[in-house]
Amino acid sequence: MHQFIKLKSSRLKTLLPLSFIGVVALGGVFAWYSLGDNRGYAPDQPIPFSHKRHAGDNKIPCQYCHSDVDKSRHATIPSMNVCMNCHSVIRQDSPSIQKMKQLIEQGGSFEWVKVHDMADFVFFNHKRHIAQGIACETCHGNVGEMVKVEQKEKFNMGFCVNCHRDNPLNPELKASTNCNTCHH
Amino acid sequence: MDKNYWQSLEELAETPELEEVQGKEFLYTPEELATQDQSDEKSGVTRREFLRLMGAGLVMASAAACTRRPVEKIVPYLNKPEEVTLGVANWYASTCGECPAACGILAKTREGRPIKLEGNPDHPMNKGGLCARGQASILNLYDPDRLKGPLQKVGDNWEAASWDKVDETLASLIKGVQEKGGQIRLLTGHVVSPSTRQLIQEFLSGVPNAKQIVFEPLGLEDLMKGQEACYGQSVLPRYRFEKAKMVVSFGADFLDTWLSPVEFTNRFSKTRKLAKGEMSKFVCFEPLLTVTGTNADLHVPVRPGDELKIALSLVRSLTTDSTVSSVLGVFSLEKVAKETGIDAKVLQEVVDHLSKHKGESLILGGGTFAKGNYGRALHIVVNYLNTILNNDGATLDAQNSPSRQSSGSVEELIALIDEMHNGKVDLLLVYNTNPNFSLPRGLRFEEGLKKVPVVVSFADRVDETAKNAHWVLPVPHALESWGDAEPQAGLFSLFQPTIAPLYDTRSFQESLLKWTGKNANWHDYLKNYWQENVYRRAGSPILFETFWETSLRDGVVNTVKGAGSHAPRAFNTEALLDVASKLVYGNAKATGIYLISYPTIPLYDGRHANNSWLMELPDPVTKITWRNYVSLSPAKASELHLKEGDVLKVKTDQHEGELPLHIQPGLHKDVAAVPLGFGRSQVGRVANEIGVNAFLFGSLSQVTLAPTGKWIKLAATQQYHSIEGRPIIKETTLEEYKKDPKAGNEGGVPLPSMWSGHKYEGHRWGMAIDLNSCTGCSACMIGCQAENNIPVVGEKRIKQGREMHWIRIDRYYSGEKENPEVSHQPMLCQHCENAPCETVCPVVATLHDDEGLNVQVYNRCVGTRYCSNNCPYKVRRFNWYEYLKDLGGPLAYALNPDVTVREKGVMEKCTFCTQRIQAGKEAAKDLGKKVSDGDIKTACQQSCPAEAIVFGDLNDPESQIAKLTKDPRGYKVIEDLNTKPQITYLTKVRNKE
Repeated sequence: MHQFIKLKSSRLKTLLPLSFIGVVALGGVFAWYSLGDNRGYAPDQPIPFSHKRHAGDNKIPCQYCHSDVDKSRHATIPSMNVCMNCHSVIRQDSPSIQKMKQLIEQGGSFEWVKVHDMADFVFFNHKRHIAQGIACETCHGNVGEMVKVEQKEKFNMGFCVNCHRDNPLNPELKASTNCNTCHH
Repeated sequence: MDKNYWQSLEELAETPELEEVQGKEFLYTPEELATQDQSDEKSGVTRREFLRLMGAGLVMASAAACTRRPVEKIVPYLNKPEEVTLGVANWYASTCGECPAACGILAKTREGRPIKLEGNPDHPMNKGGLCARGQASILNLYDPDRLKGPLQKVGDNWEAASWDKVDETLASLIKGVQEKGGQIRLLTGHVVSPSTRQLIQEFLSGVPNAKQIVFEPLGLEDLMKGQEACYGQSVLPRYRFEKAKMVVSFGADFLDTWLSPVEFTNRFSKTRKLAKGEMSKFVCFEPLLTVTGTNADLHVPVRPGDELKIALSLVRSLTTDSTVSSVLGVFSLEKVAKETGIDAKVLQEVVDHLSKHKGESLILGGGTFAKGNYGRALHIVVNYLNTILNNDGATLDAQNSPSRQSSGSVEELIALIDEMHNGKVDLLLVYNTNPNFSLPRGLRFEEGLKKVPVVVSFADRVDETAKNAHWVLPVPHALESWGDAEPQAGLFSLFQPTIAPLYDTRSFQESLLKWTGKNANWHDYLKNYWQENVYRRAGSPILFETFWETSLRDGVVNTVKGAGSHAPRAFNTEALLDVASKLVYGNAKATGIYLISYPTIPLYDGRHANNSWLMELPDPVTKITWRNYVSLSPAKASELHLKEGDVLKVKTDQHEGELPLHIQPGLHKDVAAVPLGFGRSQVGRVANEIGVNAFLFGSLSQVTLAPTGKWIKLAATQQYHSIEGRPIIKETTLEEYKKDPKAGNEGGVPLPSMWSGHKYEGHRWGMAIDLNSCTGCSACMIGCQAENNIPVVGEKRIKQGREMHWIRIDRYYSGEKENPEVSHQPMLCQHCENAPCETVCPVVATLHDDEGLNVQVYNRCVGTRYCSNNCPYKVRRFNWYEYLKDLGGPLAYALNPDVTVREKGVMEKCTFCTQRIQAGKEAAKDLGKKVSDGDIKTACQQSCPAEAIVFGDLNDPESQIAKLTKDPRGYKVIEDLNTKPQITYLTKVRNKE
């Protein structure tokens, strides 16, 4: 008994640190690959706005609502009055629309949760990508099929740079890979 | 040219302390710093503790890696304003409200909040440049110490009041005063707005006995009085430096704060560009060393009070009027030279040059020390010189479009103080002036104020004057208000709101309109004024509405006709003879030291001192930040056995205060100079109780200086940037330059390199800086700070050498110790081809891009600081703290959203405004064209009133930068290191014998 415990403890002496190192290493590898990988992130929004219904079923073009995406760095979430362009007539009985109308009357606005959240030191420019004819789906996935928008791509630096080096749609185009194109 | 340059007196003297410091990377070890500054928080982290904390940090970091970043919310507009596109800046033309010069500005707004101010390139006065104070005024808008609403004094306390209550009480008060035939006084600063002037007249005419008194602490009343005595016309001429080939100033600091400094810097530097190999000559007689003096080809320190004699000696030598020359018989050059201690040859040289440049020279007088009768007399002599040299109407315009940038009367102010003491004033309104701060105590303004039954102050905070008021009615910032300005007769500009008022404020004009019972708001009144005056004057063929819209878009309407020159005015010689006869010659053997309080570029008269950018902006001459000091010449300091930083008790007949000593070469030895603008007590958290209020000493009083035994370290940004005798500044004289344009720029053998060099197929960005036109005004430093979210670090960190400015202006002295020549050199990242920083970075956080930029990648940087240690130009800045993280409140609105806010532990430096390069390229792509020369301007280049900085594409052979880089004057700083900078400096050329 005594012997057994002793044997075990001496084994432990070597195994414990080894397993600790192993766990840390595995953790490191996991962290390396998952760092900044937010695929599948689909937060709840103030109202269950369905892109499938709008962009998919009813085929409303992306730029009807995200109207400044070709003019600005930002894709721009539409202001509340854009929603009311249609919803002052359509589906007025829906609880979400009711909620929105109430908010507008109070002078308030929805607090949408950002799905595709880049780090603060990254400056992505929608306008330039739209100007090159890159489809929204390339980065955002097929939003027209999403009831609840989720992040489809990794949105890490490799994801950007791969396309900047070799653009599958336009192999002629060699986009800049200078650091200060995105970091300034 | 073998010339001995030195930066500080320690260096010139080669003291053992300096030898110890030289060649040392850090001036002090952290322990030394901790003991040096007792206030430093004790950081007692031992090695063991450090390791423990490190371990904990590692665990927490790996835990953090598995979690998501904090959730960010997007809140869209309810109704998006038509003109706003998120992420795209809107620019509005407006007018700068910082000082009475009223330059034209463009305000850059993002999502409805102004983030940067630039000079309006279409404004004929400042032509795109803007001074440091004007650019920094964006911080005043977001100043958290501004009043949030009107206040009423109840007992000894302030209570919030509503505007309705204000109107009700004051309208009935005014009525009451009217009915009993009382006295209303309106005390204002200079009003540059013509419509406001009209409104004030209307307000006052509705109230019998009412009167407006104008007080401007740095006003040029004496200049106007001098003009009146000589030409019968009280006028402020518009000085036309671009036409002057010879400028002589008797104390007028026209490149610092005098009258219209941005305009003057622009025009003066135009004559220093060596176009056709010629440049102007500038001689400066002044008791102290101002930025203006540092730019003189010949700087002559004079005892205050001697300017007049020197000016008269010039008159005696230049006049052809026998009466004048006989009256001035005693003022021969030799005699005056002997009396004032100036070399007679210097005066003769000035006379020779002036007689060679008739009709193309300019004589100026002024300065804070030339006030009252003496100031008036000096201006009379200066006017006479301008008249006999045919300058009147040629290089100064007093008829076509004279300046309207100053007014005020000290006599009327003194009469007002008398009235207040005698209980004759029933109601006092104070607007845009702060006499309790800017008048010496001897005038007893405050006591008088306490005797006025009702005092209403229109200020944006409870300032030194408002604290004795009964009502404080906060006025909006210039960027929140409507308004107009007429800085020069016939030149009109508009103020327009660029943001909705942040607080419950109301403009002064709106209040006057309310109280006079006029049924108009200020905007309509202003528009109406423009319709009846400006529109008519402009004779515009378009409809008024269109004219108004166009004027708002352009920001400026120029109705001035004619070339700006006019026939010389008749001079009243009696005025000159009167001055000459009253000046008792030879008795001015004054002993003792005179105290001169003078305005500086960063703080002016201290009206907006609560601005951390300006408090941290080094004085362009002394390079000291965050406090004022008393300057003495090296000779005087050694005579009194004083050293830099000794705290002295400074005592005049008016006031006494304790100030540290700064030893300043270039001062006359009988002068002690103290910068104005400090010593505010009621301005806010940034500037309260910092330094001593130099207004209180009185102007030009005899002063006694007594050591207190205390010593403090002054927070200067220079002294540790030793130049170690290297060719950093290159200069020559005009004569040498004419013989060989490469003069002073000899050497420069191409050095071999192991590197193959970079290839630039597209753009290759480069910069050229003309040392001959840079005046050292430091506008670029604030432009850079606003553009690039550069934090303020505070006095303590400056003392540790941790300032964050990406561009600094190095000031070097050369020549004799007492009156050296000065060079200003803007120093920023040189974007070297062979960059020493790039090769030592272990994580490749700093590297070369394919357009020649040396880029810094914040997200890669791990903070080893190797790059900074290896940078020979010492332009890299390290974030020791998270300076901007806790920038709560409205100040955060001033940040530029296109530039990363850097974190603790990250190195940063000049990026050549890479975000502006991106924006320029994008704008060109939108138009489907190539980037053309001048499309992209860096922030420093844009702000420079002297146009000394040029940026552009070196690969474009037609670009201005490509040409300047090949200029024979062009050289690279410490090129012997073979770093191959992208910045070319152009040699300084001095117009001297």
